[in-house]
Amino acid sequence: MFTLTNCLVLSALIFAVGAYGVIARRNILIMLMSVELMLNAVNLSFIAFARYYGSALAPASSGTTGQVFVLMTMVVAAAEVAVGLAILIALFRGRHSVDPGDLDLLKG
Amino acid sequence: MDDLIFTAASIVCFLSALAVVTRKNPIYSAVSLILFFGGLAVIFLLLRAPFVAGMQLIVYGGAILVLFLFVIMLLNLREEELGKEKGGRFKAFAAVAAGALALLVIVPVMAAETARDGFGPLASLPDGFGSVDHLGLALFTQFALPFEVTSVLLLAAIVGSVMLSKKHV
Amino acid sequence: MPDIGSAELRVLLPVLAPLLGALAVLLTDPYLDKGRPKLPLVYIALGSLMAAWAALGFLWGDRVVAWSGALAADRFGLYLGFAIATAAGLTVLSSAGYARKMGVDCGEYYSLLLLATAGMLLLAMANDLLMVFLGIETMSIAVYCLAGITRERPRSVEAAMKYFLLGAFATGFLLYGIALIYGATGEVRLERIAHHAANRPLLLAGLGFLLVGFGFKVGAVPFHMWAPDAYEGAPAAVTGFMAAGVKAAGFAAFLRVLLTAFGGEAAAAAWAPALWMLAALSMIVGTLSALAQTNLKRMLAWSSVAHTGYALVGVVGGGGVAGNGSAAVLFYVLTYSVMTLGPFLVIALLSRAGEEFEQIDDLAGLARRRPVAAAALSLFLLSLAGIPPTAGFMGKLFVFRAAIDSGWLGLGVIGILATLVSVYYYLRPIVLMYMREPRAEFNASEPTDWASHFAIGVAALALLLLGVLPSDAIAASLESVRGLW
Repeated sequence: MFTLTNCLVLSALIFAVGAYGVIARRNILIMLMSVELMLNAVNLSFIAFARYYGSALAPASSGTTGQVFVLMTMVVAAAEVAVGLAILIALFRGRHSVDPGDLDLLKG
Repeated sequence: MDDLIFTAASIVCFLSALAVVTRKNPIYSAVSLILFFGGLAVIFLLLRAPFVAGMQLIVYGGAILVLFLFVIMLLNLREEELGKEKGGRFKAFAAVAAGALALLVIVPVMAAETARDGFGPLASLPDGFGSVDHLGLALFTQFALPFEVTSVLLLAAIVGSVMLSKKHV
Repeated sequence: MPDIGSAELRVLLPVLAPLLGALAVLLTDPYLDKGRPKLPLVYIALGSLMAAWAALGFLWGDRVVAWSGALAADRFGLYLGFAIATAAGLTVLSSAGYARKMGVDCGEYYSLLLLATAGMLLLAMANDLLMVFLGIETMSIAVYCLAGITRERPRSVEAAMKYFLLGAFATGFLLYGIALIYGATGEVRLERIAHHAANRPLLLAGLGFLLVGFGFKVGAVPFHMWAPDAYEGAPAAVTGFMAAGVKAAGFAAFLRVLLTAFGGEAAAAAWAPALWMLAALSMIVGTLSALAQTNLKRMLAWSSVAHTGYALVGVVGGGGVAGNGSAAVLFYVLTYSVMTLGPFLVIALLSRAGEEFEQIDDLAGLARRRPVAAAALSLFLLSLAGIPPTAGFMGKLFVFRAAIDSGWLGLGVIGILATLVSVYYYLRPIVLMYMREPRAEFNASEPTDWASHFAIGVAALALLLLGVLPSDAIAASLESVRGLW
């Protein structure tokens, strides 16, 4: 059923799947993709709430806020991926591994 | 009709999200991610956000995914260079933690008044809600500052990633 | 619909200064000789930060809200804005020599520093959750890159990767919190969120996620895992900037969100117990872990976790509009940002080409070879330990008194005990410097790095001034909190 609650539940489930990916996986590329899943889940919540506030009695611009927020999130996500992959390349150059478990120079 | 499309799209989204986090080879994860972005764009369309749906396909499905695929190809990982995955017990623990996280949101969502109200009637949405006109006007008036600040953020990301992936200063 | 009038531009001045500085640095860099020290970049960076200082002073006064409520120039944001601009300025001064030693004397380094500063200032003045989010991200992205900027050192890149992964994870939580708050209220403006009843499940869930996100950014236990690694691996000047600037900006936004959007009694009753736990855990875990460290940077990282706990004591014991707790946090974070930057400036000064001076044992006998550096480092460590007449003592006194006055006795006692234990690890380096024979070689033969010495001197002087004559700064912090409403 296409209801607000179902959209939000789907968003929570995808967020949890993304969080699982970051916690459980040992491959930096897949961890980065999992972060993208989390951000997309949040975007779904924003858009669903925007639809709700767009037609609710709230002030006229409330619905717009949610959609604009999603556009900003996309910019941030793109910038984060670019930086994350750049760090990964710098890391891979010296080490030939995408396993965060191999990051063991710093500990104590 | 909306119900049917939403159900199909959400099943696609959820299964492809699961595929992203469970595949061993990052290429398969990336391909599943495309499917996920597509499914989500369909849901955005249903939620009357056509411009955002388009951006979802262009930015995520286009730019971000190409970046991922490009780096996967560039690194050209061999089997032994993929990370050593944790054992089943750790994964079970992570799954329980993630499930608890989902419940932390689902329970309040069920209890909130938004659940009772549901979406308002379509007719009460303003004309052109979520269109380019509508969002463009908002970006250049009410949200002018955030819009400009994203350019600072992108500049920082450009300078930083160029710096990090250069070989010599 | 806002018109881009003078108020809009005026409010933006402190952010525009470092931003234009960053652009100027990028445009000047290609015209400079490769082999020679790039002093013009240092001058541009310093100039733009001084302009930011002047702009902050110019705006100091009544609250001006601009850009459809996205940005607020009030004393609250400007107060920590001064701390941020100062920390950035001292970092630039110390980088003039340090960046060359580490092989990163380039335009990218200075422009990233300035862009991070612009993000921090935006964050300190952000008045809606969208600006809070964008400010945090602008700052974080620049700082991730700075942490890994010495990319020939594997430890630096590793620190950047760990910082980035956990930071991106935290961003997800922060953003989900904002989404749920938006869902519950339909608003992202802080003062409008406050109009909504706080006991609704969706709003509380959003607040919870927001606390997790902010907890990561300010490095509170149990969300601190990134801090020791990121602090140890990043180049010393960057670490100092991270410890001072990121924390000051993070606390400015954190406190503003809590006081403005969730300042009501019902909402405060929800977050106070959660923050109580974070504060107590941060103080205990931070202090106990710092005891065992042999690496100076890592020890300072754990100490910064403990100091996050002390500042959170003030947040919990805020006591609302009437109480002194929130003002105490502002004053504490101001003094903390100076005294935590200090030791890193000394580490940067003592580091040799490509090699950081970071083992505590290497400090042995430093007083005989480098008396000025040793004296300054001792002063910073004494201040971190909270020993009078330094600023650290006044800050701790103010925070703990505010907490105990508003009835949080338990937290005050934990704080005082943690402070007593912490004296041990802050004094050990001092004992080594003054009581032991020199073991390591100190680079006494190099030409004196005057800029770095000047930066260390300014930080030391500021700490003594804030410790002996704190009344002006404390009065300003009280005004700042009152100016929020």
